[in-house]
Parts: sequence; C-alpha cells; structure tokens
Amino acid sequence: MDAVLFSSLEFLVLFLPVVLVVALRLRGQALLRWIALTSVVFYAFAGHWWFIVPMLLTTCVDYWVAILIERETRPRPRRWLLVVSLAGNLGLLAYFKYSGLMARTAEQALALLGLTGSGASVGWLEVVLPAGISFYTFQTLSYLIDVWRGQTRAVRNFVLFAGFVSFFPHLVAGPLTRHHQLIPQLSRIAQTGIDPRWKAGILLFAVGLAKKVLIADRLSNLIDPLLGHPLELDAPRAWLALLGYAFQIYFDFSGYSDMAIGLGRLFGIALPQNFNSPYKATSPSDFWRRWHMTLSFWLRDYLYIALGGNRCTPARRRFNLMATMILGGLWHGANWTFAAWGTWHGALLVLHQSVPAWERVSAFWQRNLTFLLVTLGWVFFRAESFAHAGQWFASLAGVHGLAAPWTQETLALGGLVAVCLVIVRACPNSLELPLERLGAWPQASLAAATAASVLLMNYGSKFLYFQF
Amino acid sequence: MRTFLVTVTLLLAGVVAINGLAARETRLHERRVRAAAARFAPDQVLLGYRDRDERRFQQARLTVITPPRLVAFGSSRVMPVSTAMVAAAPGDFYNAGLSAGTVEDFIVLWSVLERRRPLPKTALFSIDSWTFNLGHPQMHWLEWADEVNRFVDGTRGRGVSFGSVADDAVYRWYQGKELLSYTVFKSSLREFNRLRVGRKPRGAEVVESLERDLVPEGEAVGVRALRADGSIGYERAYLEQSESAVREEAARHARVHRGNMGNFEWNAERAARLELLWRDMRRRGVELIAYQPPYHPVVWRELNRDAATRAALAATDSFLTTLAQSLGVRFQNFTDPASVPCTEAEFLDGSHARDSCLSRIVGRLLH
Repeated sequence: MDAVLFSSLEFLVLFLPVVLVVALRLRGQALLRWIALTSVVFYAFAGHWWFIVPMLLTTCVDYWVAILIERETRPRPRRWLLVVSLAGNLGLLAYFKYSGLMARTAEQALALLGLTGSGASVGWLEVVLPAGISFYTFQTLSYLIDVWRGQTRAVRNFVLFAGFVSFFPHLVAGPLTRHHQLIPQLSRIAQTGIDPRWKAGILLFAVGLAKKVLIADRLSNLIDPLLGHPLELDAPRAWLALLGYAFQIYFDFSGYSDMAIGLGRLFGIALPQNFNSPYKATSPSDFWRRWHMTLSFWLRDYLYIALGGNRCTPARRRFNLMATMILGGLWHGANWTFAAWGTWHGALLVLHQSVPAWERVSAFWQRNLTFLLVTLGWVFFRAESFAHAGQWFASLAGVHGLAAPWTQETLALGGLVAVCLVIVRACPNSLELPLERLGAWPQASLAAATAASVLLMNYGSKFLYFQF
Repeated sequence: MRTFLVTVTLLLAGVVAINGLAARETRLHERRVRAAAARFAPDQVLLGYRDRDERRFQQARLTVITPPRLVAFGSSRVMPVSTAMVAAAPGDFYNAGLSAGTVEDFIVLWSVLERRRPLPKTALFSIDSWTFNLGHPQMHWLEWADEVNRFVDGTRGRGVSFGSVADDAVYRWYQGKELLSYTVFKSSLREFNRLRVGRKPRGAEVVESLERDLVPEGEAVGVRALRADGSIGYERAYLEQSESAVREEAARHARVHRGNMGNFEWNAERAARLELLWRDMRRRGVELIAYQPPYHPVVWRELNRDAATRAALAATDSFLTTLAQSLGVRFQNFTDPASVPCTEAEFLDGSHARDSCLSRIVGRLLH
C-alpha cells in the first residue's frame, strides 16, 4: 500500500470520511480517544508502523515528566527533571535524525586519516527517519519548558495529551502547534462535540491540494531533470530552475499547511497560520516572520531568547542570531548543506540589522532584493552536497554557458514560474481568501482544479517537508 | 459550497464512467491475448513486444509450448538470454522473463509448468538486487495475486489465508484507483477517439496486430521482437547507443534511483516466498541455478560509495548465499561487473547488460 498522505485517494475516500463521521457522534473521552487512535493509525500508514514507537515513548515520558515537574517544588530536582527530559527528547531526535550525518562525517574523517577499508565503517548508524519526529519533539519540548517555567499547568488527562501530540492534521509536517493553541481547543470539543466549519475547511483543503498537485508537483517534474545535470546548465536555465525551486518549496509546504489547517477546521480546531505571503517580505527579518512562522516563533521563544535574545551586547546578539539560524537550518535535515542554508540566513539577518541604509531603499526594491537573497539561499537547501551547490552557483554565474536552445520543457517551466511570480507577489494568500463568501464561478473553478488534482495526485510526489 | 461539491462530483463521475467503459474493453482484450499466444510458431518472432500484456502473454505461452528442459526466470535483465546463448537444442529452452518480473511472477509462471509434464530439468533465476527492497515497490504482480496466494497457501498446506484476502482487497483497491487516474483517463479518451474515427477497439486491434506482427524470424532485423523461445531481441537504436550516452544514463540511474536500492527496507515476505518456491522446485527434483546480474560499472561504483546501499547489497547477497546453500542451489553474485568481467561497453543502461556480457554469465553458470 502506498503511504497514506493528504494527497492520496486512501486518505480522501477512506480515512477522512470514516474518522469524521464517527467523530461527529462522539463526546468527551470517547472523542479524544478516537482522535488519538485514528491519528496513530494515520501515522502508521503515512510511513511505517514502527514510527509509532518513538512517538508513543515521547508522549508517555513527557506526560509523566511534566506532572512530576509540576509536583516538585525544589528548584534543583525540577531542573534535573527538565534536563533529563530534554536530553531524552533531543537524544531520540539526534539518534533518528543525525546519527546518519554523524556516521557519514565520521566516515569521511576516517577516510582522511587513511582508515577507509580497515573495517572501521560506521554505516550501521544509518537509520530511517520517522516522519514528523522534528515537529512533535519540538511541540512536546515547548510544553515541558512552559510547565517548568510555570507558564502552564501540566495536563492530567493522558488521552488529551496524546491527542495534542498526535492530532493527525498537523502531525507529520506541521504547523508546529503549541500546547496553548491546541489543548484548550481539544478540551472544548471533548465537551461540546466537534463543530465543523465545512465550507472554510473543505475549500481551504482544496486550495492546498491544488497548490501541491497542480503547481508544486508540476514544477518538480520540470526542475528535477535540470538539476540532475548541474554541469550542463547554462545560466538562464540555472536561474529558471532556481526560481522554480523557490516556488516549488513554497507551494508544496504552504499547500500542505493549508490542507492541515483546512482539516483542522473540519474538526472545529483552528491551527496556527504557517505562511503569510513570504515572498512579499521587505527584509530578511520580515521573511522569517512570514515563512514557516510556527517554527520561526518556536526558535525565537525557546532558543534565541534562551540564548539572551536582544538583551545583550550587539556582538552577542549577532552570535545568538547565527546560532539560532544554523540550528534552525540543521532542524530541516541531516546534511551540512542545511547548516550552510541556516548560516546564509543568519548572515542575512545580521547584515540587515547592521546596514541602516536598507531602510532608505524603497519598499519595491526591498521586496525584490529580499526575494533574490532568499532565493539564492535555496541552492544550499536543494543541493545534495556542497559540490552540487558549487556547480549550481557556477551555472548561475554563466560558467557552463550563457544560452542554450529553448526546449518545450524550458518554456513550460518559464511559463509556470511567471504564473507563480504573479500569484506570490500580486495575489492574497490562501488564508486571506474570502472562502466562506466565495461566489458560484470561483467555486466552480476551484472544483475543476480539485478534480484535476485528484486525477493527477495518483502519481504525485511526497511532500518535501516530510523528510524534516 | 453546493456549486463546489456538485461540480467536483460531476467531473469525477464523468472520469470514472469513461475509464470504467474502457476497462471493460481491456478485460475482453485479455482473453484475446491468450488465444493469440497459441498461434506463435517456433520459427516466428513477435514484433513490438512491449505493447502487449506480457504477463498474461507469457502465462499463455507456457501453457501451449512443449515443456522446456531449461527455463529462465527473471526481470527484463534476463530477457535477452536465448536458446543460442545457452547452447540448447531448439525447444529445450524457454525464457520466462518479464519486465519488472519478481518472485511472485516466478511463482505464477512456475505454477503453470508445475501442472504440465515433464517438469524442466533445470531452472535459471536472475534475481535483481532490489527484489527485496520494500523501498522500491514492485506492484505488477498484484495482477495475479490470487494465483500467488494459491501457491503460497498450497505450499504451506493451508486453506484460504488472511494474506490472500488482504492482497485481493489491495489489488481491487488499486484497480479502483485506476478509475481516477489521469494516465488511464488519457488512454481511455484515446480509446473513445479511436471509436469516434471509425477504428476498431484497442483489444481487437492488438489481436490483429499480433497476427500481423508474428513474422518469420528472418524478417525481423534491427527491431524489438520476442522470439518463440521467450527471449527478446532489441531494436537497433537501443543497441547502437554510444558508450557515453549509456554512461550518462547509468550515472542518472545511480543518482536518481540509487540503482533501485534507495530507502532500503528488507522485504521479508518476498524472501519467504522465494524460499517456498525454491523449496518446492527442489522437492520436485529441479536443478536450480541463480545469479544476481551486474550493474553498469558507474552505478556499481556509485552504490558502493554509500554506506547504506553497501549494507543493503551485502544483506541481499548474504540472504541469497545462505538460502542457496541450504537448498542446494548454485548461486553466484555478479552485481559487481568486474566479477564477470563485463566492461562499460557491454551495457545498454545502468542495469541491463548486452548479449556478450550475458553470454559470459550464462557460460559460467551452465557449463
């Protein structure tokens, strides 16, 4: 059986209707149990059944540790409890996500020392990454830290806590939803039953599905063959591929977020906004207030501020920014290219703070410059290695040619990139659309796009953010 | 909201109706293919083989030919192995290779031979490294999941198993999904367009073309054709690719598909099915010879650079070596092209060897 993702017939035709129909009839603990159970089933089918094991481990341990922290009044044991639980959560994440990177790095280091082939291989450290582990680990971490800080009470209802961790609309690729955003809503629907916002939910889901299947997947089909041969890319095609990727990742990830938020609405749950027209940003700081907002705010609240935030010397502030962005980059994937991507953005943020002249430039140029800088950063994000990134940058600079014959595929990519540019710069984003007041013709157009998406999604690709 | 739901429903219902009507025609076509397989004479070849329903065609062929003494099972990588290559007398060898052929396909084709007499004396198995990789799902066999489960249940001495019911349900679901597939929809529209312009249904045309495309062997030079012994001959353009074009394709195969070994996860069920099959064949006194075919040298080098892929290749080799030893199967691993040896010039792409390389492999295994 294929992986059951939002953009799969298994999800749309089998899973979702059954879950919703039963949920509409339940109240109280039974409803919470149903949500937790079906979320676990979804998770098992979205990847592997054993993915459930680390998630259940995290859920059980963090549930009990939070209660113990709250009960404990002495500062030192409280701190130890927090340290142990942080080490456990981050250790699990490190094992599943970064042991492969460490193994590869160690192997390269051994090769440099001339130890390759001596039986010193560390390949056994390569493990399969459970989908969504980065998301639910960060969610439970923020919960534990807030309980420790005394900013929230520990949840005493295990099923409610399990529902918070596993609620399937946000489980695998966000939005990274915090306890204060979800637990009160789950408590409310347990008391009153779910109150679906059918129209707003279904139409937003349809918009997200179309963004993913009709735009992101089409871009992927056109870009991947180009990026497979970076040494043969002339400058125009290298730039087209780069712009195409910038739009692919936006439409892919924001499309997923729209679907997740739309699904949340079907359960009467408001999930947080994750994208606010990021390519309209007028500075690197503004970009991070608009791109993957739930992660940005998490990093700000639990990493940047914990490191001292803005309340320190300018040098230390710059260090805090760089450290936050590098770690944020590595959160996205176990490859040093992601660290380079984080470093690029950290440098952009530091430079933006250090160059007052930026504010004197018109908003039009601020927007274009920000878009250009952010787009260049995607090279590190998409490249498989530094060598690949280097070849791509060389192609962008025209080292591999300045012009080549235009093929049908290149023209299609150019056309699609132009359409995307108009959408991201001139149109409102999905959450700004007046979906509940949509007229008959826009509804019919969205319906046609949805039908086309259903036909094409049988052969669609996975979501890019599933690997993070 | 009503406009949205009604429009989506109407559009998708239209697609399902069109695909459903076209699917009915496909079922009729299967029956015609079986009838056509019986008309294949020993001195003929079938042109343009990849257009046919090859699973049903091979199954049909095995029911009508004189049972061979030597039979080859495998994927497209074994398909060029011919009677001349194995130095057999005419009629003594049959190549039951299939595109994307895997263990379950071998089971169904063996089940046909098992019901006939005499049984083959020797069976040659070409086992792809990715056969046991769940990360590279091979779904073609689900078309005959019933027959696979019948064999597995029978061999294990059980009646109807949960596995058979589940596999059948999965197959029906996949069939159902095809009704909402864009690719199938395009093909269905072509079918309707064919009728609109006064042509016959595809099934009828395929049978006609089977009759037309069964030509004397001497007439099929430089074109893709299936020989009466089940082996395939490739078209000139494929055979005359430059070494650099092949190398480029091999590099792409390694980079994009990781030699089909990416996301490796052991397929224990398939491994168990292979063991059942080999055990059954050995019990019936069939001599078994198995090998893993070679990758293009570029792919092989690339795969060995990655620790996870290396481990996956080693796990597959270890399983096959152990199983072969326990059942008395002669097994050789040729995934490393240097072990044959085959050079870059002896490949057609990242994983398909030319006749010269295959001849060397077959020579080492059979003689």
